[in-house]
Amino acid sequence: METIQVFLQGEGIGAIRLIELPASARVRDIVAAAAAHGFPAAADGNTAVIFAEDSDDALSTDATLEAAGIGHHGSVHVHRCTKITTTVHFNGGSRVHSFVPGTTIGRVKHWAVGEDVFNLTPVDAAEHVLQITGTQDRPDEDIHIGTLVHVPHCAIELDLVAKVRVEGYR
Amino acid sequence: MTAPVTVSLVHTPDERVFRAHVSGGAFLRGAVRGRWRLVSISWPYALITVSAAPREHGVSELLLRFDLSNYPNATPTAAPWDAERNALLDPGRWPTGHSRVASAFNPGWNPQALYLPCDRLAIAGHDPWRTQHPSMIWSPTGDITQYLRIVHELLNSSDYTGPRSISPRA
Repeated sequence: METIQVFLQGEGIGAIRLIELPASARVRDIVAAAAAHGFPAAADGNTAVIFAEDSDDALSTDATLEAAGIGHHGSVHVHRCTKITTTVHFNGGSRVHSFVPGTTIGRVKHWAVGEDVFNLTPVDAAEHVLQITGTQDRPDEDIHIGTLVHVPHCAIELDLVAKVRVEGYR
Repeated sequence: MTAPVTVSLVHTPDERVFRAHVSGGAFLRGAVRGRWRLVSISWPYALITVSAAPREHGVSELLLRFDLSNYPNATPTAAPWDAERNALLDPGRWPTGHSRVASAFNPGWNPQALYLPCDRLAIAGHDPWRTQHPSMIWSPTGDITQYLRIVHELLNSSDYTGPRSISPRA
């Protein structure tokens, strides 16, 4: 039986996981694989929603992986939130936008530094990074924002902070 | 994509954990994306390349030799490596940059390690870094991608200018 490997992120899953599925599997089969890695069982009417990475549309659970565009080494996200209210703080200001859970930190940063939001120059943008507000955590740009939130709190706050040179030797 | 495997009848616990991590989602996703590549394992050493942005006279990837003794409980240490000579890379061929990259890749401080909070040799004697750069401190609950992400970001930043022997002094 031909199988494919898919990178999985999601609510309660933590690290990026690599799962193996039959090539003929359907999107709904991803949920079972996610449950084995910590995805909470559907409760209180919250059903699982599956997204392809950085895609705004939820995948049809009845579709085959192939029809859904999920191929070998594709990336998917499973969550019970359908949207995540995302606030980014920078230089005394704040902007808010709703992203789907499968949105990468990289895409959120791209939005935040864009000319319609905080309008950073390309050089300045490259020297800034998103940090979870109130923490020292700076999620990698490949991390999906959904991994950072749990139902019922479908929201996250991030600070756009400057990267700092490591000092100490002269 | 599978790296050459050193034949060993018995792997020590730290090597088993490392091999599991480089077979896991976070490492493989970075490899699939072309960020890094496992070259070989000869425990407690591993050779891993990290991709670099194009620069005049620069390389497409930097080879690092990691000392992973007691991984992941002990912080790893790594140095740029010359594959042809199987020895430390000549200081003139180390990467450099305007500020952050020049600080991190400093053979004048120590040609056997990177000057980063995530490096075992560098963090020794630099306790203030634990509060100054908490996002770069090695966590035993994580994996080798903690170190690799930091190096990849530096070598693909606007700060990076190319090899020391060619680039203007930082």
